[in-house]
Amino acid sequence: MGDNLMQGLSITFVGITVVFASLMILTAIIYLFPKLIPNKDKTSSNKTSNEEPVNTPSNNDMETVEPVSNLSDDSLIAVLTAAVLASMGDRPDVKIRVTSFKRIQQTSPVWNAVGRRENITGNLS
Amino acid sequence: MFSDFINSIKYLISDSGFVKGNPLQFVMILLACFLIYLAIGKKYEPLLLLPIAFGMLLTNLPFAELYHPELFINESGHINIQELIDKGGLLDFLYLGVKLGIYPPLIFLGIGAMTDFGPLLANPKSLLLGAAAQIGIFLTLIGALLTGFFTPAEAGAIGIIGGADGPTAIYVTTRLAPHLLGPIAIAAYSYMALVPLIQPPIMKLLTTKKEREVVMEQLRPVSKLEKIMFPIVVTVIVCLFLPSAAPLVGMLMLGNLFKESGVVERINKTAQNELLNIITIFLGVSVGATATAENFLNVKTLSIIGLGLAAFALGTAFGVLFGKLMYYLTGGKVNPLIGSAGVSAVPMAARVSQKVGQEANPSNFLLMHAMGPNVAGVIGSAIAAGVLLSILQ
Repeated sequence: MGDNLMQGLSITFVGITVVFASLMILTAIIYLFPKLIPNKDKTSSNKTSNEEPVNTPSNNDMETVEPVSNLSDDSLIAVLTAAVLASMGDRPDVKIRVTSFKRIQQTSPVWNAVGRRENITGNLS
Repeated sequence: MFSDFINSIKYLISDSGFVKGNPLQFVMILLACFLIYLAIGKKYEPLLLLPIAFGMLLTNLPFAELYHPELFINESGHINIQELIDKGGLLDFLYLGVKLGIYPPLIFLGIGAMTDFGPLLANPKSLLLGAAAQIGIFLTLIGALLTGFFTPAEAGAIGIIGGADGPTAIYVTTRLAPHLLGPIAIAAYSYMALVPLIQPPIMKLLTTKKEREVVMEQLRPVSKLEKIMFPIVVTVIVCLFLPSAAPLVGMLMLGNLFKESGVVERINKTAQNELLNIITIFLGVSVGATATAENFLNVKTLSIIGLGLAAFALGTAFGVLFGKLMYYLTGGKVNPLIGSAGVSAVPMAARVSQKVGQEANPSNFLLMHAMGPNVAGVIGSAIAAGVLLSILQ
């Protein structure tokens, strides 16, 4: 019985040490992953955020368009333009062109957003 | 003419399994029917329990000669291939895949192809929870040795039930104690099915309501390159550290590389569907076949069932306790309930963490956080298996 217990304890000690040691090494390596691997997604999102201001509604007809790098950005600009036009209603006197965009964190309350929209509409009319 | 007919019928009856069968075999057939009921009626791990139970039924049919344990378990410890070809039945040939250690790693290949290690990569410290839950394996080994019924190799095979990983348990048992394969595999799969009943009381006992209510921060997104590098790095590190874990870990990670590389979609689909299903049938039936009356109906089986439960309970408890340690070290940012998922039993154990967490705080979603320790448990139990094989084989 005593021998069995000693053998069991020794296997347990070795086993737990090896399992923890190997998984700790793996944990350390996985923590290094984000530092070793350049995160392409992150880079591209930074690039986008560094771009010029938000929606730039303009009364000038047919301003020069900034070159757009890829198809997804093209689609997004189309969606943004459509959204702005839809929110402004059927107004033939207002012509806009979205030249650049930036994603911003939504932190302000909804009432602020409504107030801002009313303000913009008021200035345009 | 008529007397010849009567004599033939008499001969057939006297030679049939009904007359010549051992009563213990009929007990085993009833037990197999009960397991079939659990698999179909109660849906207890039916994918494996059903073929296992039917294999058990087939092997105990008197004179069906489908499986011969003496061909695999003998004093020499070797298989006599000529004798196997001469005497072997269908289940003997299927059992070769278990005996030679082919099926469990192939099952791991399929599991790897289905597993998303993203939550683990997003929260690497969850690997340690997967390690803590393996303590149950080793404490059960001590318990098995203390009963005096088991040799150290048998005790190791019983302890691995606590890894809550069927293929790992089968792989280790075929190498350390092949004569106990039937009871150990049935105990392992039965308890895996009972995880939703076994774990919650232990989780609630070891945690306070405040700890269970902790809402964890959202996980960071993981890049594709990280997911591709992970299986390669794990294979190299673990197999260099512990070569005996290479068949299980290597196949698990190969399957995962199929999935994450995105360039071998056909192979990936085969690994996680057709191949996994075919191997599951072969593995289940041949493991069930080892549960012959003389191997199964004895005191050792009862002890294995009791010790298996202890292994599950201890694994859960140590996972939760390590989770508590992390809770304190991180200033309350880790919910200790995710620790219980470290016992493997993917994804059932993670679902249990989610359910118990949501009972304490209905706005809590722990599932993805628990998937980290859950898949870490698969790696942890494969490493623990490697340790047991290195020391006890």
